[in-house]
Amino acid sequence: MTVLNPSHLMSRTRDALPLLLNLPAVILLLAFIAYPIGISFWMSLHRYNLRRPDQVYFHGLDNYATILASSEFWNALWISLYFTFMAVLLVIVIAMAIALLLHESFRGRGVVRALLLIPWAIPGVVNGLMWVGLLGDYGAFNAMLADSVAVVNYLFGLDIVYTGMASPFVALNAAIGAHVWRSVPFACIIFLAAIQAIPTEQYRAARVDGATSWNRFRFITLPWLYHAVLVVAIFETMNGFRAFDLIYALTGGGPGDATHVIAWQTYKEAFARLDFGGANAYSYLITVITMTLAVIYIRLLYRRGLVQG
Amino acid sequence: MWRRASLYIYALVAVVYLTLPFAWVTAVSFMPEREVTQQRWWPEEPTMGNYNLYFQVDGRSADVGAAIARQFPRAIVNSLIIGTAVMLLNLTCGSLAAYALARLPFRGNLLLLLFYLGSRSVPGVAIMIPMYLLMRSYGLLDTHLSVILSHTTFTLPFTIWILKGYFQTVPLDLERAARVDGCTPLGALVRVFLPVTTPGLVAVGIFAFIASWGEFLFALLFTTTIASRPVTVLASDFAQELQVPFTVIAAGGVLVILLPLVLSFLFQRLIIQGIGGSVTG
Repeated sequence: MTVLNPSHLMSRTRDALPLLLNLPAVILLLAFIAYPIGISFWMSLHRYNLRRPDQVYFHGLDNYATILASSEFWNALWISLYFTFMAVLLVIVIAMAIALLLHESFRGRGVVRALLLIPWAIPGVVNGLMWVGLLGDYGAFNAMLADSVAVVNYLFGLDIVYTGMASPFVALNAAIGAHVWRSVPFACIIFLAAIQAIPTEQYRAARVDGATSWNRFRFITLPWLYHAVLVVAIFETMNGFRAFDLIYALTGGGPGDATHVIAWQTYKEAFARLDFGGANAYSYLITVITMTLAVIYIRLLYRRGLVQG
Repeated sequence: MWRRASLYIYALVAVVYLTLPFAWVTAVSFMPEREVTQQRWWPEEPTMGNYNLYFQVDGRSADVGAAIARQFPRAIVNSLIIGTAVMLLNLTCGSLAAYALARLPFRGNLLLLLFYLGSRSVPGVAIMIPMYLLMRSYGLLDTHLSVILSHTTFTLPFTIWILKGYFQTVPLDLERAARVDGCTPLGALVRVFLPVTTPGLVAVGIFAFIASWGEFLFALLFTTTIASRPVTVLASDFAQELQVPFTVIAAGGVLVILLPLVLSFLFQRLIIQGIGGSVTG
């Protein structure tokens, strides 16, 4: 009978166990991620305001048309793009700087590495509350900012009036600063792991060839870190577009609409205006934007041959 | 010599950047209210008053925010229940799935992997409304279960991803020996494999716990009363209340941070390995 080799049947029984082992996870994710995503799209095609529960009806892409024609959406999108771009840039630069430091050997390195986990361990909403204090009227950072504005005014003969978090410019950039502060450790740990995977012979060879430390960084460290940088960039881009709890606690979207990032706008649409149809259209736009960015990044990785399929 | 000195200055700048915001808030949490307005960096007359507010069970205090502060111990219990359940669910569902992906070749494993990766990149705001309606229709609003389920689903893909990488580093011979000795695949997993991979499981469990402890959006949406409200949501309730002195908010913040901070210090090595391995592994 072995000649017949019922491989089909064999492989089916062999496949059963691994699929069974994956079943609990798959069921959970199907029920609470895939299914809601589907429902979300379906709802985005409906007129559905909780204030008028009797008037739920299909109206195609109208919600999308309304949103794309509204200045609120473009304002929120613009703010989110600025927020995300600045956050990704700053996280990469600061995390890289700290990772390079932690790669050096010096006394107390273990302490620095332990302290690195402080911002990471702080919940986003508590981080927001912390920065409310730091940037509030009596806050430590508020005083520093006010002083530095005074110095700049004196040095350059300007008269910039510092109004703290009441200024849209300060509020938005402060939110970015707080978001970056909490995001640095994760990126830093990823960079550190990547740096430690670089073969040391390359550095030795470069040193023998008389390369400067900048050139060693530019031509050895950076190319090796390309993959890690892209991973962090993808991750932080998604994080930037998701930023919600920090905004909720720190600025509440204000002053005015200065920190109306797109996640906040979606939340408002849903739970302040109770417009579930419109809010779902918003959510879908966020999903599409983050997925598109992720796909672009991953394509880039593939093109450079840095991802093995 | 110069190199050494500049390295230490560099390190000092990094330490100040990483700790200053938290250090200031911790200092403020021990200050009487008037000292904050003097913009001090260190409490001149340290007080536990801000913390006491959170542990007054008798409820006589008329201080602003006392009503919220009094619910604090209960909120911590809620967060502990939710976090522990999320951790256990992650460990059971996650280790089973990761074991299959790491060890048992089967058709469709790439598809599953992409499914896990894809579900990890779905933003919470994108599914908040359907999730809310789903929980409402099952009557799960304001229960621990609703929060546990949502937290489990957004941590699980990461758990599987990390565990899969970790499991692949364990030598195959170990289970082969167990199988030769007559273990079933499941028996090999439970009796031989899981004990060896304890460090990875601990890291992933702590991860899930800390992520759940800090999650805000779903906790905010699903919970309405202190019956299920976790600490993050309670802490944010202060943000809505005007007139609460920042010293009190700071003490609350420190209390919320305490547990994840202690856990991340205790399991520092494992956490750093875990995050690092998520990319290189």
